[in-house]
Amino acid sequence: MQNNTLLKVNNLVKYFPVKAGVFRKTIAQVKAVDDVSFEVKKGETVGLVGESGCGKTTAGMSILRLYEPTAGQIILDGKDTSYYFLSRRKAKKFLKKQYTEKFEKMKQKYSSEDQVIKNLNDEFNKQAAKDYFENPHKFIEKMMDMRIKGRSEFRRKAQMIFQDPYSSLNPRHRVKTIVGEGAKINELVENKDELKAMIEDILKKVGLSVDHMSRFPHEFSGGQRQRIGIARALILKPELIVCDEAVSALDVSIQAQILNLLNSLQKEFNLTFLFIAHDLAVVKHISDRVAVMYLGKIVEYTTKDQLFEKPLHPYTVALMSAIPNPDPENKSHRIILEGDVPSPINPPSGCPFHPRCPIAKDVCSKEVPQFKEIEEGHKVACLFPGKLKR
Amino acid sequence: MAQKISDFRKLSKKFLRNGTAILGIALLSFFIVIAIFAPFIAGENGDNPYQIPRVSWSSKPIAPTAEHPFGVIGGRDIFYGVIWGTRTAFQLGLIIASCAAVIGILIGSVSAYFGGWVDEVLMRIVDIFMSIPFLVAAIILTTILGKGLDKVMMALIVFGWMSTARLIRGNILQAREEQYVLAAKALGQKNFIIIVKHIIPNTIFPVVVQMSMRIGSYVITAAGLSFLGIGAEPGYADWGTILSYSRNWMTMLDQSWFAIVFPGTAMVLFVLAWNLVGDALRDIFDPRLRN
Repeated sequence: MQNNTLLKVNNLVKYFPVKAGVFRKTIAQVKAVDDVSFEVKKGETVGLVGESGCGKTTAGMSILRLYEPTAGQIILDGKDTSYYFLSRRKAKKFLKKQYTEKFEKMKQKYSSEDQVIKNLNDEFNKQAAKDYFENPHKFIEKMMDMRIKGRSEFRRKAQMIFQDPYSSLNPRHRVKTIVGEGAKINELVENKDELKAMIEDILKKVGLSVDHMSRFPHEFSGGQRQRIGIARALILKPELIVCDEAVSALDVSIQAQILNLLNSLQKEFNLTFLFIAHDLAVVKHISDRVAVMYLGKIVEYTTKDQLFEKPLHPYTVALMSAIPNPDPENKSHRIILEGDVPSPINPPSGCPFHPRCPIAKDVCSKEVPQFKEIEEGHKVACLFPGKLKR
Repeated sequence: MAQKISDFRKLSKKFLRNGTAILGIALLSFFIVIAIFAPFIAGENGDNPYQIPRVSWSSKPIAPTAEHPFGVIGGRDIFYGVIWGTRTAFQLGLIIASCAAVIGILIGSVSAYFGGWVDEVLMRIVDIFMSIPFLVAAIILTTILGKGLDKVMMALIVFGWMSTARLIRGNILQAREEQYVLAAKALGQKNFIIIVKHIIPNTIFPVVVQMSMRIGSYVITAAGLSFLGIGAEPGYADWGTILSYSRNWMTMLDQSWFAIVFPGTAMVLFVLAWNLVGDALRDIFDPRLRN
């Protein structure tokens, strides 16, 4: 199972400080992503859905370290990459907190090293604990050595396709400069001819032609620009691509084209997608599994079929009821949620969804529901899963 | 490289088809030629060539003659003043505009880069400087500093950098949030290269364009100060100084028109040249305007 998982996110947290006053004191935290855990298998597409402001883009950006996460572990291809982009001092601090202190504490609690390993729930951390107890000093040393080299490896393996095809391409660069930038940075080519051949090849793969190379982004339509963006990410031959609302800025016919292109590229290059979207139709089309986010937390995570057949979290049920039904005979019953999304600065106590939940009970405002597996491969964070019916 | 050359050719072709751009370049080259060859065109006045030679001790204007083609006012040869004044104009415009731009870019980019209270303090300073009317501030400062062209330059630099600072700050703040900057980061580009390749090209060109357009207006302002008698010293080869001689003859334009028309025309054409060049630069720098 370990070998099959490409990306594993453990307890990812990203808070943005709210500063005010002359001295820029931090007066509050926007809890954009609050304790998010999930994993993505090799070659699959995981959809990350939720309404605007629920933290799905922040989660994607934090995974790629375009924002530095506040806490959490991001494991890519069996390697902890969480500390790669931290400064040396902070990386040491992170490793000490994440491994040394945690393992030592557990060792005191369970009194034996084997027990610690047994009680860790995660394959990666089990292996880490094993290595750690063998030689603690060497373990940390080895992790620190990997930091700088790991950075470029991580950048090569994980790429992003952006939401806005207009602002995601530098207006002063030609297509070949834009597409070739990654190859140059990561030294994938040795000379200019190789680079040119590589760019030509990748442009053809995304459905653009060779004579587009010397043009500027403003000479293209939105769909073509998005193809350029895809080519830019693809030239590094990445394994994971985070698509941040990659089609939401395009009109519907172009959306279908781009989604089909992504699908065929996925097969050709064995890509893994983390597809961030708010459009459930798009998610249904492309995903294998879907994570539903609400107010910085994942509330439900399961396969696409299960999610659309049998949603368990009341929020998901409400979302599903909002999908327009093209059959006029078949009137669907819509669940209208009351009120607005609460502020992520000051999220509600207990279950973050309880103020808007149609089936909320008193206990929901007190107890935080655990995100746990209810059925095989179906995780939900709700005290009364499946109680809300469509 | 081949690409760059063909680009240059394409650009210059388009440039040559653009009438106003050619006019701007032609005018500007005309002024440059005059400035360079000033000693051959108007002669050189002894050890201080920037002092207009006195040809008469009468303050009465003398209409253009073969010897003094632009006439004489206040005993000074206007032709000499206009020709050598071209050099002064270039000095004034280029020095003021580049110093103001350097200060503005420095303050604006520091402000945008550090943000927080640094930004807050610097922008309030900009506000304070901007709240004083430009001409009034320049007049007061030149009065305090004393006469002389260098003092005028100083005054105009001190009160001329703010708009550049604001422009570059706004541009950097905008460019920093663009997704292509994030994309470059995701590709693994180093921060320094991101600044050089992505942020600066998208922020600096508007400043260059603005700078070229303001060169002309600084010359006008300096001339205005000279006209008011608080600019260059009397007799200095400067278009504004010649104008200041005509102050007393304003009511008798039939006798003194040449003291206004010749330096005035030079000024108008100088400003026009820089504005047209600025327009052309903007078209060149922005790939979106190239078609």
